[in-house]
Amino acid sequence: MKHVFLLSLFFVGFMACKPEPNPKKEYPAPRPVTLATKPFFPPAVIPADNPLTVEGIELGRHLFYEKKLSGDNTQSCASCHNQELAFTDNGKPFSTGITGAVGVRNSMPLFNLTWTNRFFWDGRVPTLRAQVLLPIEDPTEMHESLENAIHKLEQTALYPELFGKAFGDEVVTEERMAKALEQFILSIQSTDSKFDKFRVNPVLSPLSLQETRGFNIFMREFSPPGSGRPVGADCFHCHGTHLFTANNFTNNGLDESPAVGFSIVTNDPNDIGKFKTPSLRNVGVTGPYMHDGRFATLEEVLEHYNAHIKQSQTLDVSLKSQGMGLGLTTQDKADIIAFLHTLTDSVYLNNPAYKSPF
Amino acid sequence: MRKLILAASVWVMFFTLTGCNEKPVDPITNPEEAPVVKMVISHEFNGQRINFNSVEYATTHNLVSFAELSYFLTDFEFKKADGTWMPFAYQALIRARQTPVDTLVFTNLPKGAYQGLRFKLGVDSVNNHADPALWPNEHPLSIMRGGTMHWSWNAGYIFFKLEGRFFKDAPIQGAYSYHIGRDDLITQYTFEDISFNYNDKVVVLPMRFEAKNFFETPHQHMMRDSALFSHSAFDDEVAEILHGNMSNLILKD
Ligand code: HEC
Ligand code: HEC
Repeated sequence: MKHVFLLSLFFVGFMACKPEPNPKKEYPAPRPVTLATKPFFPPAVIPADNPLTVEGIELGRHLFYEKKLSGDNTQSCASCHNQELAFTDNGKPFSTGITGAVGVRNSMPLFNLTWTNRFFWDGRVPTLRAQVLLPIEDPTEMHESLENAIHKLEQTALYPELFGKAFGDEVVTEERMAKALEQFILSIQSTDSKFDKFRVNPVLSPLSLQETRGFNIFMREFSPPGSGRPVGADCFHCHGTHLFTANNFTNNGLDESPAVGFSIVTNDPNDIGKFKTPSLRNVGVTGPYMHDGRFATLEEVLEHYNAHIKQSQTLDVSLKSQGMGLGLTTQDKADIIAFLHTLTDSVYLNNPAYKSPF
Repeated sequence: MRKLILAASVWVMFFTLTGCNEKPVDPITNPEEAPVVKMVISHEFNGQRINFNSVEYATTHNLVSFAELSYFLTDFEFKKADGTWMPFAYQALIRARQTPVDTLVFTNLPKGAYQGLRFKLGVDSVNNHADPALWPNEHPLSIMRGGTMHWSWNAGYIFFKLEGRFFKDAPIQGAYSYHIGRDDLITQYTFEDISFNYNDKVVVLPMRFEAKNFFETPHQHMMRDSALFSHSAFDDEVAEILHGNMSNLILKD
């Protein structure tokens, strides 16, 4: 009897240290989540074959913060996407992968991706689902094969159950990892900045005089100095709408010989030097700026637009001040920056739903 | 003999039918296709299909190239046989660079005889100033389709956008960017010479967008260092002058 007891204890212990997903175990259907519609935001776009669920998002959040997805178990998505900085990489122009390799692009903020349909600075990936597994396999980032990553997750006590809750059974697959990460990232919204509060109720939540001035300059078209018209910086042509991006790819005059950019997708020489126009929401915390992190501060960005636009074949015509400069004073630039800070959304930056579950 | 008479009468019918219009407007593209009315707009400069970004075209005063040509057509109305105008809810965002020959498909147009068509280049005042986020994402007026066609908090939609480069004294290149919006700059197009019977066949209405007219009919526009862009501001003279050239942009082909 004693032996049988000991044996079964041993067996239980063995099971516990080497759990295996149980494809037979059944789970209740996951609970659907509908993202709240927010005033002035378009309806959120959720892929028909991956509706958001409480359990799907929860699994995605675990995966996002899971270091086991990297080759040496030291790096997770969150290592380069820090929530407090709008999910950017801690002020670094380029990110460092597990092998010490340094990337060539500035980490991108993550929010409101329900309203984006091209991913990465050059738009080379058309869906979030296709995007989210790439960093795992990228040798300059997490450098792990998906096969290994899946194996490591299967070995845990935690993940088979999380997969079961999200997808009905405990089988861990690439597709399910991608879908769960997609759900988590789609659930990340930034819609509660000072500016949003002002838009909803300008009387209760006014902007300061300086912020209002900055807003007006940002939203006003450029007029040549001496035209008698008020100063305009023409930012809205690309960073317009309530999303603060027109969702386009443009050349904003960074280089005389611009990088390949969006033409990698279209093969069209007219798209050379065009990059994804980033949303300017939360731009107060996402420095350094541009696809290569070349500008450390917003002051440097403003000075670029004000006086250092580089001519090239594909330079956007809406930077029509080309050659003459915007003619912004130090005060004008400070006002625009004050306005840009009203787009910082502390509700999103501190939202517990996006924090590490560990 | 009976056959001959039949054939002859078909011919006579054909000639009388086509005789009513200067040009037949109802070629059957594909007999298998479900009946529908389509308007096909070809974007041209001086009768040649526009080649975006690469080819330079001569206006009276400048050599120009085109980088973008986009606009909204709204408020469609069809003139019925009894002479009354029937509103037809339809809005289109045309992006000529992406789609140089664009086809607008009027599904659900009631069957019948029509003797005219009118529409507006622009967005009516109510929709122009409404919240663009309220449209479903696939709708032409949604910022998800036309994010670059909205003036944000300024005047509503940019109804019409023509952008490109022009050539001053070589090798210096300039850029121009004409944006037209504002309720008072909506352009109405009326075609009373378009008539067609819509019953069991596909009807195609061929149209031509003639970009040359934007630069010279009737006002001969000259790009130098000024007048290179137009604005949403209410006193923008360039927008007003160019708006005067816009009633000749869309022609029956
Ligand atoms: C080593 C740093 C690093 C890691 C780890 C990393 N990323 Fe990124 N991420 C970046 C960089 C850099 C970019 C921009 C790359 C580019 O444009 O080529 C980026 C871009 C993105 C984008 C595109 C956003 C947009 O607006 O187009 C998404 C989504 C994203 N990462 C999600 C993830 C997920 C999910 C993971 C974990 C599986 C992850 N990242 C891990 C550095 C990292
Ligand atoms: C022609 C379109 C266009 C206009 C006009 C424009 N931008 Fe940009 N902006 C871009 C693009 C594209 C990028 C990213 C470029 C890159 O990294 O290669 C960008 C990047 C930025 C960034 C960096 C964001 C980040 O996350 O790195 C800031 C800040 C910014 N713009 C502010 C402004 C301001 C302020 C104005 C008006 C003075 C303005 N932009 C006008 C297209 C534009």
